[in-house]
Formats: sequence, structure tokens, C-alpha cells
Amino acid sequence: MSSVTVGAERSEASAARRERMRLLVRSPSFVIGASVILFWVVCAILGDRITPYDPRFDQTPEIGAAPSWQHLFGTDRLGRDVFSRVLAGSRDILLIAPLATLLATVAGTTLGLITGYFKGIADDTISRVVDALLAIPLILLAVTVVAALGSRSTWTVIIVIAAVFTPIVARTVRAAVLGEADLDYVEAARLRGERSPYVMFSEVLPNVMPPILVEATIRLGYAIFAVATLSFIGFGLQPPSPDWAVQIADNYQDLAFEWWTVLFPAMAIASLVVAVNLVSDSVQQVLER
Amino acid sequence: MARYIAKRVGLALVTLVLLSMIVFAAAQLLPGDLGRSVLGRDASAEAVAEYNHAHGTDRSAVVQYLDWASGLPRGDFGTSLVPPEEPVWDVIRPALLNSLKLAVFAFVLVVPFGLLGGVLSGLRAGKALDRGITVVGLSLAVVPEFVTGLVLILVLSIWAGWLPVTAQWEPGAGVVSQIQHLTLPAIALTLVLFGYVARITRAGVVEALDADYTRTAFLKGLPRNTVIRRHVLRNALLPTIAVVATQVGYLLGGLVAIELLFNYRGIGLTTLEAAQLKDYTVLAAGVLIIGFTYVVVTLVADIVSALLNPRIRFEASE
Amino acid sequence: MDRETRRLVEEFRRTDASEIDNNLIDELVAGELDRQEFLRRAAVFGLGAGTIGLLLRYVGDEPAFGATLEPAKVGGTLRVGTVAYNSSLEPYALREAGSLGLAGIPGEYLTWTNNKLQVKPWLARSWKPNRDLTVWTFQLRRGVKFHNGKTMNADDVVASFRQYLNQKSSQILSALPPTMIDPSGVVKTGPYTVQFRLKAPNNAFPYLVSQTTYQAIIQPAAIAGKLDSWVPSGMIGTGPFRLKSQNKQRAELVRFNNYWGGKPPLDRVLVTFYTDPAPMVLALRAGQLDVVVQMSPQQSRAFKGNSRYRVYTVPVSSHNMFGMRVDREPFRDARVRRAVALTLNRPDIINRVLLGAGSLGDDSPFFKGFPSTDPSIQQRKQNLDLAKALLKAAGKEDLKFTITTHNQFDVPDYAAAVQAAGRQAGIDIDLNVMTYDDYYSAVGGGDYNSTTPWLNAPATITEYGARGVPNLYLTAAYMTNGVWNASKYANSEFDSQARTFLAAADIASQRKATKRMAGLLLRDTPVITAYFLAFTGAGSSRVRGYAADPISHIRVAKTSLA
Repeated sequence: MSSVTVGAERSEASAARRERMRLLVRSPSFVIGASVILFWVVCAILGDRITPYDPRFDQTPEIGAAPSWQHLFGTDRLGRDVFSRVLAGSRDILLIAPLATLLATVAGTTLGLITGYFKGIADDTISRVVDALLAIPLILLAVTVVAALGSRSTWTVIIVIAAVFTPIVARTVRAAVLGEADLDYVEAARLRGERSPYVMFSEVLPNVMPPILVEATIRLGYAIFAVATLSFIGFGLQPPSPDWAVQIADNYQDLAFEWWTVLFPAMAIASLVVAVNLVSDSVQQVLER
Repeated sequence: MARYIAKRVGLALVTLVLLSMIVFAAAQLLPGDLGRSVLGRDASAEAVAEYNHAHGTDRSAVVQYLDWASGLPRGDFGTSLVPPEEPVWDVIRPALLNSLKLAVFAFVLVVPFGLLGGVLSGLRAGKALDRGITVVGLSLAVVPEFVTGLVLILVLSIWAGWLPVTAQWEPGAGVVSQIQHLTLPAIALTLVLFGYVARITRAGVVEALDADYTRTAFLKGLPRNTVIRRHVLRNALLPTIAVVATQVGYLLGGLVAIELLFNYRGIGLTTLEAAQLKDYTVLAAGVLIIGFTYVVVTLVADIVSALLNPRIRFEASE
Repeated sequence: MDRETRRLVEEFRRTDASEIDNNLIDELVAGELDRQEFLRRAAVFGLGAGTIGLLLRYVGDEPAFGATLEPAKVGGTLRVGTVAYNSSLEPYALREAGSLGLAGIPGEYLTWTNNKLQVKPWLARSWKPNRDLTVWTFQLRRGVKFHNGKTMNADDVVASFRQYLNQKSSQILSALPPTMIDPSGVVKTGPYTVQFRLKAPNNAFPYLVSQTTYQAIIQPAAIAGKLDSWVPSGMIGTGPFRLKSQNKQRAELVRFNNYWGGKPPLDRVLVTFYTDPAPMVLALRAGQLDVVVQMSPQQSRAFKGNSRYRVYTVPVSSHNMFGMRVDREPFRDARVRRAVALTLNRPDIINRVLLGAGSLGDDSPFFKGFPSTDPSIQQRKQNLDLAKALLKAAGKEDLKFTITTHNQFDVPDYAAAVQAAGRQAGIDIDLNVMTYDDYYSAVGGGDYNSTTPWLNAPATITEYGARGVPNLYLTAAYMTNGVWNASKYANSEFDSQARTFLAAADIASQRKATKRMAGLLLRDTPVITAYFLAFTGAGSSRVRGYAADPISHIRVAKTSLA
């Protein structure tokens, strides 16, 4: 392959990327989704520097006050400002979900590449184990792993969700790799005598990147879902974290008369997952075009 | 075809055996122990050790597994290790029945709505209505079901006062009362699954609209509604149901948060509790039954797809 | 006291009264006992109602089941919500609120401890100790029928207690420990008379056969004689309702028409068990339940000040012990521990965390409701300046530590309040809130006592259930090498005072000991106790004749629905 054609290919590829980006930013659902995510990311980074009250420590005299100008989302049973807690509550979930997704994507891609590329016994064995794991509902699997790991720190939750998502990513990647493995360029690389890891990561991987990207964005949505559900049933983050699901679990006994302590964190979770979903849907549409 | 089915059944069996092993191995890793869970923090170490010994959890994991697995071919799941130490099947059966009731109800709700949404979406593919249905459907699908469930409780139960807040009817309650109690959780599940069903249906409709037979029908001058009813819907329906069936695993075992929220003892909650108490036999049986359902339904769906799509059959018999 | 009364009392003291009785009257006359405490003790020692009435001229007595002021409406189903349980329902194995509450409806006890900590007759009609308090003789009520039609007699009581005493070894601290009585020490001395022959004197024995020892359910002898046959038999007891069906989610009980205490008004009691308390609270609010046996004070907010509901509160001695490891930095210096204690604004915490339903704690287990608690102990108050000064003196101005605790009841809110309070004195407190199971489990399969977080973390907040006397708190959590001594407090002076307290028969010496111990604890502060709780339950205002029991028993013999 001459350097000239390589350069041409590169510029062609970058042109395609630019075109995709252009399509993406023109898609209203992407713009809306990305703005909402950006909003929560800013809240997560700035945390209690932008909240009107300290989300953890300000126990104001108003206990269980309804929403007002002073407390936009009201206060909870300890007199903490719900608005401040909702803003600050994005931090943990925005740390855990993306990290878990990243870990799962890296591990799942590696696993999927190996099984899809080598096939044979390794593939059969790993595929069966993956099948078995996929037969267990996500939350049950996660709960079992959390319990097995013992502690319930932020890192535990990250690792558990990554572990649970890895087989799912692996299966997607494997399917994509299977479609590529018999293609000419792989054959050509093999004939050139390239070593397997090189072929896998340098030749096959770039070609299966789009489905991996799509899978990663979908997983991110489910990671948020999983973190929230785990925390809600008591296996994830624990109070007094202002995490949204923890707030909901902590307050829903008061739903009948202090609905604001539940409804606003619930809306926050919904806004984040929907935003991630909008972005992932637009990315999918652009990549599959 | 027979070979393909035989191969798939064989693989499914291997999957189930692996599943049971994974569950048992995972249970060994769980912290704490059975005796402590049952006897409580005030129990003496000797009493805890004695309880564990009496229930065989101090044996090696392999011995426990073989002991438990040897009963399986006879349909014997063993005995629960937690008082009142009923046969596992007696613990699982009512929970499974509860889960089935809810799952069936949710299915009955979601299939017509999902089909309707999908068909509308498919017929107006690319239009605003299509985008709307797709985005709303997929968004609802990723919002955790406890979030939707709570909002439903707040609006329909607490503010409007129409439906009960927990899914628990009086003993001996009639079908109407049971349905009333199950409506809120079923709606929550319907919202989760709607986008999924609508999406599959939409794809089927788009494909069917594009197919030769549909074009021929239009060319023959048949009225639009007739073509849609006879050709498009019929062809879009089967794959939809086949694919939706794969959600059975989720509907049976994945509803821990919903079951907790509505205090409804389904298989999800039962299995979760077994995991917390280290009641291996119930845990393993619960997961195995959920997994079994999932594997069987997936198998059936695959075979149906294979029958519909000759290409898969060909690949498999290669 | 009029002349006639005085004459009668003096005659009683001269002729009928035992030494114990006379001592009691002395304490009453000397003003060491208030009216309530006198009643309590008089009942323990088996003074007849006539005598008590004589001694307290105008004092009425509360019947065992609470007065019914209006004729009860007959019929209806009471829907009760309580917490799910995982242990056995067999009497000897009862240990969780959900299971003991259910078993205590068909099952009953010899005596009843009411919410004022007085002992009342129940299946036992009366009792008397011998002179040195080692033998207690109980007269049983006649004509009490079991659900299977059999009449209760001394054989049933002996068999039931022997079953329990033979099984006691499973609990580290049992209410009736083997050191107190052997199974053979429970003896039938007449068809309706049972004697308990103790190994050592005990001045409070009638408490120990009341519902506070919830394992001591009286079963028919044939069932009690065969272990684990009570539940399969259908939980046959003497209670106002008999079991129709039960599983882990639901129990259905129907009226027992031959109940010795009169026909119960309700047709049926339906008990529902909840894994998560929040849906239970919502269910009461939405009218799907009539009574919730227990909820946290925070949860009762939904029902306070609402005429459609009633909130039941009973002040109890349960409290959260916030222990600091005295054998480890940063808590080796007592000034540091005192500083932490001084940051707490206790009345504000009680208002915020318990909504006022609690009483002040003074960093000792001496609940004001205990008669043995010296009322003159000085109460610790918030003092941020002093806290800062103490930290400075100890060289710990940048004090930073983590409190390990569990997520149940008021505990996380309390922990958050402690955290917020610490910040006011510049103390940086981190919280590690675990699930109940994790907090009380061994870590990594290690030895329980040396790895479980609640006994090993540097700072812990642990909840302790209600007791009628502070004995267990002292022996388990405060005395050197106590089994639950999470702070590792070791002070021989304290230990000797505690031993004096435990051996004392009279209230004056007990109070002297508590005052000394409280002083030592204020100085050393191994454990911070900010408040004592109130047992809280709630029900619909349609429910009549129901009173909460702080042990989580469900007392429905006289309950009716308006």
C-alpha cells in the first residue's frame, strides 16, 4: 500500500467523520439530549459550589416545606433543600455510569474480538458462559455480585455494572467480528503473516468501531438504569449520598404528603436517561446511514 | 431442520447446566453465612456453626452442588435452608404464579398498544408521528421502572385515588380485585416494554410495505386499508410476537424493584431474598427457573425465526 | 393519709406483710418510689389488688387489656401491616418483630408487662416469691381453653418452659439464661400451680415470664413436648384469634369464640408482611391497612395531625449507641470524645430526627423511665466553644473520622445529624452507611467477633432494643470485655459500680450506682447516646381498643372497628 493512497483514505475517512458530525449536530434530538447531559455534567463538576444550600449539611429550620421561592423543590424531612440535593445528586451517577460503561466496553470488546476471531473451542466455551449469564436478569445478577464483593463503595458499583455488561458487549462485538473475519482484508493481513493481536486490534477493530460505539451509548443508558435500580433496592449507593435513587428510596414513604422529595429526583433520573437515549439514538441513526 | 433443532436444544441444555454452576459458585462467594442470617446477631458462634452443619453448608461447594443437582432430574429442587424449611418448589411455585399473573397482564396490555404504535409509526415512517412514537417509546423503555411506578402511584393512586397502592389483594379476592391490584405495576411494565414492541413492529411494517407482494397488491388496485390488514399486519405480527417473547425472562425475574415497590412476592423478590439469606437451594432454583424460561422461549423464538427465514437453517446445517 | 387507712396499713405490715413487702412500703413512705413505681413493684412482688388499693387510697388500677370506654362494634376484619421475617415461628426461635408479633396473637404468656413497665396478671392469676426471692410460685387462671378445646393447666406451662429452657443456648444473651434456672427448676406443684426454682435470687422474675420474653408462649403440653411441632399444629395457643393460614407474606387469623377473656369483637385479623417498610406506610395512608405495628418516627409524620389516623407512641429505652474506639486514634484522648459529644444539639436532633418523639440521652444507657436511674444526673448540653477548646487542648483541631453504621430506622438520619453537628466545630465526619446484613456480618469469612463492622470499626452507631432494666446494656456494651463492647471501654471502677448495681436489691443503692456510673461515662464518654426513642406505630382512627406494645406484639383481643 503506498503512502499516497493511505493519505487519500485518511482524508476520505475524516471527511466522512466530519459529515457525520455535521449530521449529528443538526439532529434536534441530539442537541436536546446533549444539552441536558451537559447540564447535569456541569452540576456534577461544580456540585455544592452552585447549589443555593449545602446539599448534605444545611439542615434548615423548615422541615418538609412545600416548594416555594426560597426552596424551589421544597425541603425534606431533615430540612435539607431538595433543589440543592437534586443538583448535587448527579455527581455519583455521572461518575459511576460512564466509568462502568467504559470498563465494560473495553473488556467486552477484547472478549468479543478474541471469541469472534478465533472461533473454535475458546469461542464455544466463552459463548456458552455468556449465554448462561445473559439468562439471568440483569438486576439479580448485579445483586448477587454486589453481595459477593461485600463492600458497597462507589468502586464496587462500578465494577459490578461493568462485569454485568461485559458479556452483553462481548456478544455484540463477536457478532460484528464474525461478519468481518472472513473478509478479504483480514485474509490479506493473515497472508502477510501479521500476528493475530495485530490483525484483531489494528485491522478488525477499526472496522467494527461503529457497532461498538452504538453499543456503548446504549449501555450508558442501561448503566444509569442499573445504578439507579441497585441504589433503590439498597444494593448500590447508601444515604446520606444525595444520589437521586437514594433520595427516592429514602423518601418514598412520604410520597403521600411530601411528594416533592420523590418527584423531583425521579424527574432528574428520567431526564438523564432520556437525554442519553436521545443521543444514542441519533448516533445510531448517523452511523447506520 | 431436525438437526438444527437438536443442536439448539443441546446448546440450551449446556447453558442451563453452566447457569446452575455459576449460580452455585456465586452463592459460595456471598459474605456472611446462613446460620447468622437465620439466627441473628445475638446468636452464639456455636449455635451458628451448628445450624450451618445441620444444613450442610459447611461442606465443600462441589459436594453441595452435586448433592443438589442429583435431585434435579427427578424434579427435586431440595429443601429451603431457611425456616420453615419447606420444599423449594413450595417456595417457588406461589412466587412463580404471582410473577406469571403480572407478566400475562402486562403482555395483554403491551401487545395491542405496542402493535398500534408500531403500525402507526411504520406507516408514517420518517414523519413527525413516527419520530414522536419512537423517541417517547425508547425513552420510557430506559427510565427505570421504579421511577415510572412511583409517578403512577402518585398520580393514579394518591392524587386521583383510583387504584390501590400495593399489589396485594385480600385472600380469596376475585379476579376483578386481583386485576385492580395489578393494574399499576402492569402499566409500569407496559410503559417499559411499549417502545420495544413498537420498534419491532415498525421494522416489520416498513419491511412489509417494501416487499414485492405488497407492491403487487397495491398495483392490483386493492384499497390501502385492505392491503395493510391482509399483507402488512399479518407479516409484521409474527416476528413481533416471537421477539417480544424473549422479554419473558425480564418479566419473570427482572422485576425486583417493581415487586419491592408494590410489595408483591414474585420470583424476583423471592430470589433476591434468598441471595441475601444465602438460601442456596432457593436461590439456585429461582435463577434456574428464570434462566430455563428465558432459554426455552429464546429457543422457540429462534426456531420460529428459522422456519420463517431459510437462510438461518442453511447456515446451521452447514 | 387518714387515720383508718393508717390503721389498716399498720395492721397489714404487722400481720400479713413479708419482709419484702415491708421494705417496699418503707421505700414508698420515704418518697423513694413514686406512685407509678410503687405499683410496678407491688405487682412484681404479688401484692393483692386490695392491699395495693389500700396502700394507695385513690389509685385505680388499669386492667390488663386497657379499658374499653364504649361498647365495641362486633365484626369486621382488621388489616395489620408488619415487617417480613426470615426466622422460624416456633416459640423458642422467635426473634424478629414480624414473627413474634404473629406468634403472639394465637399464643399468650403468663404475665403482661404494660407500657408503664408494670407487670400484670395474664394466664397467671397471681404470684408470690419466697423470702429470699429464689422460688416464685404462680397460680394459673382457671378455665382457659386452647384452640383445640383442651383446658390449660400446670402441665402445659411446665412443658412450654422446659422446651424453651432446653433451647436457650442459641442466643448469647437470653432473657432466661441457664445461669438463672434449669429446665428441671420449673415444677408443677398443683393442677394450677407452677413453681420456678431459681439458682440465684431475682427481684424481677415476673417480668421474665411476660411477653417481653416472647419465646415463653404457653403451648399445650403434647405440642411443647415435641420440638418444632407448634407451627405444623396450626400454632395452637390460648389467644383471642386462632390461625387459619399463614405464609411469609400473609397470615389470616379468625376469632376464637371460647377465648377466656371474653369473645373478641373482630371476626378476623389479616397480617401482611412487608419486605420494605415504605409500601406499608403508603398502604396505611391509602386505606389498604388499618394498623401498622411499627414504623420509624419519620414515617409517622404522614399520619400526625391528621384526624383520619392515630399515631401510637410509647417512650422506651431503645437507643442508638454511638461508640468510639477508646483504644485507637483519634479517640484515645477522652477530651476528643467529649468534644464530639458536645457538638450535638440534642433537643434539635430529637425534633428533627424523631419529630419530638423521644427523650434526652445523656451518653449513658440510663433511661429516665428506669426506676433505678438517679433523676439528679446532670444533662449534657451543646457547647461548641468548649468542644473546640477541648480539641485544641488535645491537639486534634483537624479531627477527621468515619462513622460506620447501618441503614435502618432513624439511624441514617441520626448519623447525618451527627455529621452536620460535627462540622460546626470543624470536625470532618464521613459516613459509611451499610445495609443491615453487611453491618452485622463477619468480613471475608473471618472470625465473627474480630471482623464484624459493628464491633470493630473505629466509630459505630448501633441500635439497641428496649429493655425493662439497663442490665444488658451494662454487661454487654459497657463493662470490660462485654460481648458487644464496640468502644472497647475498660474501666475497673465502672465495672465494680456495675456489679454493685446488678447485685443490689433495693432501689436506693441502684440509684447511687447509676449516678456514679453516669459520672464516669460523662467523663470518659466511650459512647454517645443523644436520645432514647419512642416506639411508634400508627393506625386508622376507625380502630378502637388497640394499644401499641413496644415489643411489637399485636394486641387485638379488645380491638374493634368503628
